[in-house]
Amino acid sequence: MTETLIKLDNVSKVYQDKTVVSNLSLDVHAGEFLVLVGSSGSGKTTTLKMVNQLITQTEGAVIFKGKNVSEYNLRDLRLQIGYVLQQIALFPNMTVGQNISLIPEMKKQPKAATSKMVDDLLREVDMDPANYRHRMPNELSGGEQQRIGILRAFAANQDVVLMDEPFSALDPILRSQLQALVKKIHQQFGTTIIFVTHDMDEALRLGDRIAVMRHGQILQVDTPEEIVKNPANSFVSELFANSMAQDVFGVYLSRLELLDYLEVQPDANATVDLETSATVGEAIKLLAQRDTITLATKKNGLAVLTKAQLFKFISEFQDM
Amino acid sequence: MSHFIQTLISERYNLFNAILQHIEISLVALVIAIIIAVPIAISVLSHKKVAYVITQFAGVLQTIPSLALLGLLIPFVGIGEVPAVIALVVYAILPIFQNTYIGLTSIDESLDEAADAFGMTKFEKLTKVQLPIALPTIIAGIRQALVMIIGTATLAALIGAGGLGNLILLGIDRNDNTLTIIGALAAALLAIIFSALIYVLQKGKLRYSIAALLLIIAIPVGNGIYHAVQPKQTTITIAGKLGSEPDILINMYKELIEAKNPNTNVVLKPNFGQTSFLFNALKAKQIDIYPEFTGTVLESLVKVPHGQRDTGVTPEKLYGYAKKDLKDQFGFDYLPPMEYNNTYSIIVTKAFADKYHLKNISDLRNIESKLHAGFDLEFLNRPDGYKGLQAKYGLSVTSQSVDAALRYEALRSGKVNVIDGFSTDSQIRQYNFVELKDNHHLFPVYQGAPLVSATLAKEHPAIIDTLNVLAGKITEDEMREMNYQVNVKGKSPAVVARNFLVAHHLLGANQK
Repeated sequence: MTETLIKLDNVSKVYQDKTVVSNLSLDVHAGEFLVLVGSSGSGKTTTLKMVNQLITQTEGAVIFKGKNVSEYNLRDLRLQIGYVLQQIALFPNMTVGQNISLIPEMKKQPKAATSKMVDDLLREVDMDPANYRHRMPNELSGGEQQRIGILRAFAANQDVVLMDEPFSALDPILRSQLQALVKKIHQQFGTTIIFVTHDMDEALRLGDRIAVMRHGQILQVDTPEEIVKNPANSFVSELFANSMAQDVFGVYLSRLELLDYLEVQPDANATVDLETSATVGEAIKLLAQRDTITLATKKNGLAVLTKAQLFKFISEFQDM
Repeated sequence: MSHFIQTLISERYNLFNAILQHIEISLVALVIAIIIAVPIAISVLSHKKVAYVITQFAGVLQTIPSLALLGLLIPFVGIGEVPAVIALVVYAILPIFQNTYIGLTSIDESLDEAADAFGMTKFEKLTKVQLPIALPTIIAGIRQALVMIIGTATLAALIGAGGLGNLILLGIDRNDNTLTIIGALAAALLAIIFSALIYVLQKGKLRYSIAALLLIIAIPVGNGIYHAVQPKQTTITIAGKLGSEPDILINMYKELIEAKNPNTNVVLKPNFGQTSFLFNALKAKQIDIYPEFTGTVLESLVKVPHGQRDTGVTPEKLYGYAKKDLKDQFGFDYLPPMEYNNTYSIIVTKAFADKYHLKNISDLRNIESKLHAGFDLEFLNRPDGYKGLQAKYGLSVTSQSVDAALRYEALRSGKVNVIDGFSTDSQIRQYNFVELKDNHHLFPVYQGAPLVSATLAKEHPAIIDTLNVLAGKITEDEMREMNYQVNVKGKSPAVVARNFLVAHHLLGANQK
């Protein structure tokens, strides 16, 4: 019933004497959000890169839209496939606007429409076009950069977008925000997404289906619910057992949006309990024994963080 | 300081031309180096070993001393702008190649992967991603090359390519430090200005940088096209050795030829270099005419046939020998000489000459004990120099060796009371010194005459004819006066040459 957009048919990749992917078969349905998950060295990135032929398989076939990729002109093939890198890789010589409109322009889409689309997309991610369009990538924060990296991949209305661990270098808050963004874009445009990650939470959170990989093979492909409920083997079950993990504890206090609204510490001589470079986990430890702690904030000087405020943040974090 | 400004004003025309020449040579070399180095760097991007070999090779080229490189090139491409540009290109390739290669290879791999993943062709990747990102590094290499080229280009004057090196050499020749300093300063300023210009461009927007780069390329190319499409005229190239005298003479040749032959375009290459350069250039047909001395021809240019005696003969006979030998051995035409004899000369102050009634060199014998001579080292050791004075005149004086450029100053300040010099030196006129007559004919005859290439003599005999009006003209006094006008009074050689021709009705005499 579901249409197959991409089919990996018994593909293998062997480097000299090292097999990275062996006899792997996988169908990617049109419009689905498929997450390839596995630890490093499981062959997930190699599998991903076979789709746009950044890596060519040693054996087997990759079928895109019913046609073997070897029959495509490489440029034509890749122009239909978006790509988001972990390193973001915005072109430093181009402005934000130029980066986003690069692929539509390569596809010879009308300039005026592209320009309007760039503005719309920027607004979509809460980056005012008037302010951001002409900035250079190095004038953006890491989170802003990856937002542009995502827009760049989706701008040309690609059939499929490949995402290679796009958020693993970002802190937990940014990661949640961008996960939400990708999810939103996926629902809005119905773009097929193949997403590679080693983070089980991310996989469970994003995937319509999850493919669990190990040693170059797929152990199980299923919906998140099925995988958690009926893991194919003990490896898969252990992998997901510790999921829904304690990410929130690793969040830096400096990233807490409520920081700006904290009360100023009335006692100017109060001892500083934590710098804002400390994590939520450290704050919880201190707040287990008392109701407030004193933070040294860059913006407002000494400020008071209450137990209630932190609990409120933690509860909202899961909703993001 | 006032002397500096005075020199600057009197030499402004020369300086301006030299700067233009300097810029042209430098930019042409730079553009060629860019055209060679950048594509090579791009094409070896994925061949590490080849890139390494090229870098090493370019490095070795760069260790060749520039003077040696210029010398090595002469047998292959002759002299003038071509070898100069080649040598400069050789030096400029390394920094440009290296920076282009490093700039392109040090681009983040993820950008490379992104460009591939987006479906860019190799060319798109190169023009949209790699070159723009590497541009600052590439331009830094170009800047480094340009500064080096502008500095090294001063040596180009040694092989007749002109430029600011001419002023430096001229300054050394005239013992005029101011001129040397002006030349050196101008070269340094040029390097700083161009370097700053490129720096500004580098900071600017990409499209402006490219536009400016194209503009820089367009200047020499445009100049070349302009020269190429100009209506074909008979072009005669006349060169002269370093110094005011040859410069004045070739300006006279130009006036005379152009007055009689309106369709002829005469190109002058003043201060072209030393005797051997000019002679080789004439052989290589890079120049058509240059003034040469009879004495020099017989002494160092031709092989003197067995049985031909060059000493103790009349000037007419000497010219005859020179003309015949040049014709036989090289096919050159040697036109009749002018009157003046630019040979060694024994010089004293007017007061000294008056006091002891000195007219001839032989008169010096009477006051031998009072003489304190300042002779140039070469003169001291030449058989037709001081040794000849001893043998032919029986003169024996206490003498010290004085640098050629400092002799006149030594005589003027009274440190010495007799010196050697050349009969047309402007200082004789400047300080009103007295030249003693060589009454025993010790010194060889050095008469100047136009030396003409075989082709020109054959194809344009009429043009050559126009130069013959100078035969037997210009006395030593007149030549000295003209040198004085240029060297001391700061007049341009062209004006001095023209004034002489007009005053002696030589321009009119030839026109019909």
